Amino acid sequence: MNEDIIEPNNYVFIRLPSATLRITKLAPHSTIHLGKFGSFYADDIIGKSYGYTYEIKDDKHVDMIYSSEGLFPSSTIDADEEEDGGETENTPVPEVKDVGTNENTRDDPAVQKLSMTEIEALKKTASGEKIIETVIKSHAAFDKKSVYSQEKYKRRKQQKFLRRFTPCSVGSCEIIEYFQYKDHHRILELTSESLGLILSLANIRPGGKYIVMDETGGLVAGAMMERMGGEGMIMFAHENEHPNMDVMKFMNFPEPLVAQMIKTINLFELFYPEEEEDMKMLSEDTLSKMKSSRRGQYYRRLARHVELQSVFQQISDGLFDGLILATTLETKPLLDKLIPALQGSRQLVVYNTAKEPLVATSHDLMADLRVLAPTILESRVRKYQVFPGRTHPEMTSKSGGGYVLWGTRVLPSKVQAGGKKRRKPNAPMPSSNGNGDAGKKAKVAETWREEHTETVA
Amino acid sequence: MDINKPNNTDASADWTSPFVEFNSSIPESGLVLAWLTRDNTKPLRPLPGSALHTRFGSFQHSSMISSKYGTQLASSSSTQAGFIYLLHPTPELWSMSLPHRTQIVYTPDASYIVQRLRIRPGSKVIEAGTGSASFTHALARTVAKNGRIWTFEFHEPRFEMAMKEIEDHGLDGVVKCSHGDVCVNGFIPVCDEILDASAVFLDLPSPWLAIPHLKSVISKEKIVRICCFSPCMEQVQRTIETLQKEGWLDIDMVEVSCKRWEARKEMIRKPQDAIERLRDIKRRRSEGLKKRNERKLAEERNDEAVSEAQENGPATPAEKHVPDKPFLPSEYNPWGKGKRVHEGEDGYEWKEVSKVEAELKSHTSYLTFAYLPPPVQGKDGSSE
Repeated sequence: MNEDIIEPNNYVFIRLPSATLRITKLAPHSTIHLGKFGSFYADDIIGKSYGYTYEIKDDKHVDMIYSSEGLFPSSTIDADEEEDGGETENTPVPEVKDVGTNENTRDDPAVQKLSMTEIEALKKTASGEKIIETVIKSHAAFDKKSVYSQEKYKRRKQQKFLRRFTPCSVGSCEIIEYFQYKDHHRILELTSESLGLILSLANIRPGGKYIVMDETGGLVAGAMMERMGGEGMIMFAHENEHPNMDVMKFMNFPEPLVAQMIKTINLFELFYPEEEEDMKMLSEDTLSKMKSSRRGQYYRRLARHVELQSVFQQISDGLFDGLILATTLETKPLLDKLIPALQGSRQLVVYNTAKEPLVATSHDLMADLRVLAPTILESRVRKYQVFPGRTHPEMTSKSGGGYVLWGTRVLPSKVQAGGKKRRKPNAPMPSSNGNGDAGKKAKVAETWREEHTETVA
Repeated sequence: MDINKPNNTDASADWTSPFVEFNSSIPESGLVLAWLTRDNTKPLRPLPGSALHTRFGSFQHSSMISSKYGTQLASSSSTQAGFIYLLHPTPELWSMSLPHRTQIVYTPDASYIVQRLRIRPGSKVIEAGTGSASFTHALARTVAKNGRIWTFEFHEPRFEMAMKEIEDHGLDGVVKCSHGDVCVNGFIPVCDEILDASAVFLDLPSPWLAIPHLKSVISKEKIVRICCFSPCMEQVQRTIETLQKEGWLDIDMVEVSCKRWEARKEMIRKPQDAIERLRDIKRRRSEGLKKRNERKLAEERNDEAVSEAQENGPATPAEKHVPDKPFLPSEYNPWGKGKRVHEGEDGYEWKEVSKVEAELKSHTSYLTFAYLPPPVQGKDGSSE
């Protein structure tokens, strides 16, 4: 999977001026259709480096735009002012007399002298920039606008008429951007800040063996693969007959790599490994007499059987290096099953779109001697626009981002605080209503932890 | 003992670095993060004969050696029966426990930056300044043994400490520390390598001075991404002007804020109970009054009998005012008022709630991101 050069038959993330996003497969010799923005020949960009912006010409070929312009030709306000010789001590706030106000603007559709038919005709003959120039010239009240207002107007027309696009490599960041725009629930409302936090807290790195329950169509598993560089293993547990990796397919991982690193297992297989049927082994003789398709089927089943047995062994040996849950399934039974699969001092991370389930899990874990310091984190990014005289946080932003619960798997000592015997290490977690005998023992542990917490809220 | 220096020279040191590889058991003088409380994690290297003394007790290093990472270790002192946990180093736990030399980049920012800069195993990264090397550890974990981090620090003592720490943590194969002022002299590495980074992280007072020097040390084959980390808006504005001048695209500025939520329990206190309590007070008051009146009546009758008996006798002393007896002790107290009640204690009803941590980090820094496309090769072979 090449993040640097545009490769044939890869999915590509296309950024367009109107903040539209597309993900398209680039088949060689094909034409890519971008709706009102036009169509272009895929071959024109295959083999080029990522990072460039292109303008679609009438003949469907593309021109590479000079690098400093990007999607939008630079505005006069954004760019540096040469008047005062370049470097200034502090970026001054422009004077009102220089930039103007909206005192004399009036809302009136009649100010635009061009008719719809005239604009449509223009679109057929002129380049994007020419159209914009013409539209601005025929705006009767353009000069009455403040400089900022003029910039905003120009930017809106650029978004509408420019036939430019920037292809980007599809990584976890692009997937998030795309689905945030298209269907955030598909990826459980993950944001880059939440996903980044999950990957770091879970200590995802090359060579690790991880367990993931991923209901985001494979975004989380794909992001883990980005951090593992082809080394290590991901056990992908899922509740369906076949794992859903519809989102991960956009990330262009080569099939052999996915097969090598990802081992899938469904919940039934995970919870009842003993019910997995023994494989009926066939002799060389029998095999040679079979049709090749049947033989192929046999070998595939054999490979799957071997893989599954290996996974069962690793779970029961408790050899995994980390656990990530990004699922709408109840956490408690999953953690009960999977905590013993983790080695000591490995991280477990649970993501949820809502906080309350994590609060309940946190209470369960505080009483569970196998998990240390459960912590609920909420990370949110706030965007700013930065222009001289107009710097402020953006007025609207998307919600989402969920909540992240993080704990460390530990190996409890045989003797607990106050000399009470420990619970069996694989005993189910006590319920969190604080009653009953299990609750009492848990209270002892909890009280000890409280007393040993230096800063209590 | 210097916690940063491994003492052993034997083969267990073929485990290069706990930040890049996992290990199951604790080797002698292997780096351990001893977790005492949520806010107190101490780095140590266990040596036979040494011990860790804390207010929870003493913990013998010899008990740590060959134990598994994650072990909950009991105190060896008979008087204090406390515990610690022996944790495997991770960059996140390290940032919680390391000796701060400067303000560090905390995990919510660090993890976001690594994600947005598309840091991968094998990535080549430039970092300036190194500071306490907290972010450096996070980068090293991800770029791993085939990556490169060229990190620059202009403060000589801090540079020395960072270099020593990186070496002691087994990361010197991947992390190359250099001493120098990148704003004045550019990015000149101490090692003999050619710099071609695809990711740049600048945590400097004046990043706009360093940015023009980047041209010669970044990759010419692929997209290069940058993140500038600055606490002040004025720094951001100047940084962005310079990025624009230098041709960086898609300039974007954000700030990350992260809250920690605590899982707590709140007692359910029903207004009906409060009403019952007042009813109870009323009832006891009226009962008390009734009893007092009865007592008074009884005393009066008594007195009459006494006065009659003593009519010709000496004058009786004036009746002392007998104070009313205190209310009966069994008061209606459904909420344990006056007692020390632990959250979740039996005998009360509790509701699970979440509360934000007491001290919020409301601002760390503004993060400015941008990217530079690779220079286009002109038809005559020249780059634009």
